[in-house]
Amino acid sequence: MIPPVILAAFPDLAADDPVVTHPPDPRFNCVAWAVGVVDALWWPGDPDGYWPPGVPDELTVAAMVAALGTVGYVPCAGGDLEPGFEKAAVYARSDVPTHVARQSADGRWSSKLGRDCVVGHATPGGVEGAVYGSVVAYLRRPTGTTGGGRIGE
Amino acid sequence: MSTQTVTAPALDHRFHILAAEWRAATRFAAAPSVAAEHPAYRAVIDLGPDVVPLIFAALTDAPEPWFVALRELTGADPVPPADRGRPAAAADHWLAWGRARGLV
Repeated sequence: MIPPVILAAFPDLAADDPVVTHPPDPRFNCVAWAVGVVDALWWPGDPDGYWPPGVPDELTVAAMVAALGTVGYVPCAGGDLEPGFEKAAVYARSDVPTHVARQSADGRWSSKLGRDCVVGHATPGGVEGAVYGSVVAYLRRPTGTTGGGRIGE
Repeated sequence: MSTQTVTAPALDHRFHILAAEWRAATRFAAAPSVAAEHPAYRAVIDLGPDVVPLIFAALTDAPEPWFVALRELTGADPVPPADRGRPAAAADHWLAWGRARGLV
């Protein structure tokens, strides 16, 4: 059951087979979730956010792609499932990053919605719209890639 | 700042109204700073230092991004650089700071 407040914010989600997979949790955000971290807020230019060293500390799509690159993601053509790879989708409004979703092994997508819950959805389009804008970049990395993304490592 | 630990009911009521408005309006924002720029959040800060114990009570419940407010209201910043970006750890540092001053 998807809470009505989520469907109100993401109206395309209703037709995208949504499932709440994790309850609200302010300890991590969407970028951290895409990276595989559940104890940090990955966000640039923010005194209360973590941003990987060496990546431009600015809220741009290029910087977001570069940050995901520190954990093995490289740009790719699209969001179709590719065996052996996991993917991430970067969302933006007016070229300003707003969200990152990651693809699960079964080809579905998973979005940590701010401080709120984690929602599974069938396509990247499920959380496109007024809140997060639209997908502006896809990235992929070999399935099972770990390390490099956790604070302190 | 004040070290008052018993807050007036009106302040308590106002804080919880503003906090609920802020949570609802920023729940889907990935960036802590976006949350801290919301008018309801700024209104919490405008309540002044007496609201700090209420923020600590909220932090005890969940490590929400109250850190901007705490820095502005107290002038302190007990979170070491290694724990920036880790809300649970940051909340622990702030709560320890508050306990040492009788604010939690």
